[in-house]
Amino acid sequence: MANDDEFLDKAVEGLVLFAFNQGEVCTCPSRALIQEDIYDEFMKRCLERLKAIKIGDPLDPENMIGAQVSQEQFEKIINYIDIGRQEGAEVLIGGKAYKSSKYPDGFYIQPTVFKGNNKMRIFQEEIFGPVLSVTTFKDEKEAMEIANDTLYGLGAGVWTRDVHQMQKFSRGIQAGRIWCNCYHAYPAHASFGGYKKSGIGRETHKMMLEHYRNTKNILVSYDKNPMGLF
Amino acid sequence: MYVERVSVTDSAKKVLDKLKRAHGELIFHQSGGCCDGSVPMCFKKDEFLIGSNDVCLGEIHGCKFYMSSDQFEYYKNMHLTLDATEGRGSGFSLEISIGFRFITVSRVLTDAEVKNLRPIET
Repeated sequence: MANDDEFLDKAVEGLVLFAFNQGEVCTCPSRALIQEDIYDEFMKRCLERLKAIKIGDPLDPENMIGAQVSQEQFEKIINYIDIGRQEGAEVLIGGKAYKSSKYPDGFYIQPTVFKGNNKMRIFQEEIFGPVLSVTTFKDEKEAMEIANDTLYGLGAGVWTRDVHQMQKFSRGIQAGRIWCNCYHAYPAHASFGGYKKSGIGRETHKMMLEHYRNTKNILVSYDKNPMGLF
Repeated sequence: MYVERVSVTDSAKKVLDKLKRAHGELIFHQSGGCCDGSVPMCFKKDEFLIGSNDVCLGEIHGCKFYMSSDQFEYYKNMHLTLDATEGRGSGFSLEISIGFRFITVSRVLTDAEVKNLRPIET
């Protein structure tokens, strides 16, 4: 790759963050759009990193991800993986449950990456599990179109070396929070909330204190005398 | 004869019969997106206000099945089977309180089926 350095490594790590989802993450990175000319090599590295993930008992510090939060969620994810296959998406890694030797009935799912297109349900609906749907783009115009072709808009991430591109995309993507060259940072006081079907209003910023207050207007006359109208 | 977009399994029918005895007429609304998580929600008819942007995909065991029209764009070529499974879920759907969960199982329709689909009600 043209720029084989620590930033590339950081971007690979950034993509792999999707695998931490154990059943619900409001801002889960559920789609990844990757520039066509770096896709092959970039995805190869991401898949290598994914293969190194250790799944199992979350109390064992050696493990990186645990089980899904409920049987309901486990079944829902398995259902979506089936839908993805039926829609013609290609499974790049995972695509099934994980059998833990310690907890054979545990609700474990292998980190799963689908390659497909943005019109598929696995791109458009929130699966909420360690499942990512990837597609490629040719240029900035196509990337922006795909990014905004969704019913939702809570969180998005932009990964680029180009500060102009970062500015263009962070402003152009219709989402309430845009992470630039990072993802899943939730500092206090950073406003949180979505565009489109991801909600109305914002939380956690100082301006939101207004939502919890009443405005009162007190009108006082300091004159002891009648107004004198009668 | 039209090809239906939604159908229902016998086990889901049994759960629906129980719910109808307790609540009367019912409807379904397929939830989209975030926290209530892409599941069929069963409500008492008239308790859930159908929006002007909702479409009806058909009727299963006497219950109309709705979803929002923008979400339906991605379901146009899908057949949905409503099934029920034991085990409590976490949503607001009526069956949760009696220890069941409805699930929708999706199947991509064939080209021949798509040509003869039941028109949606808007």
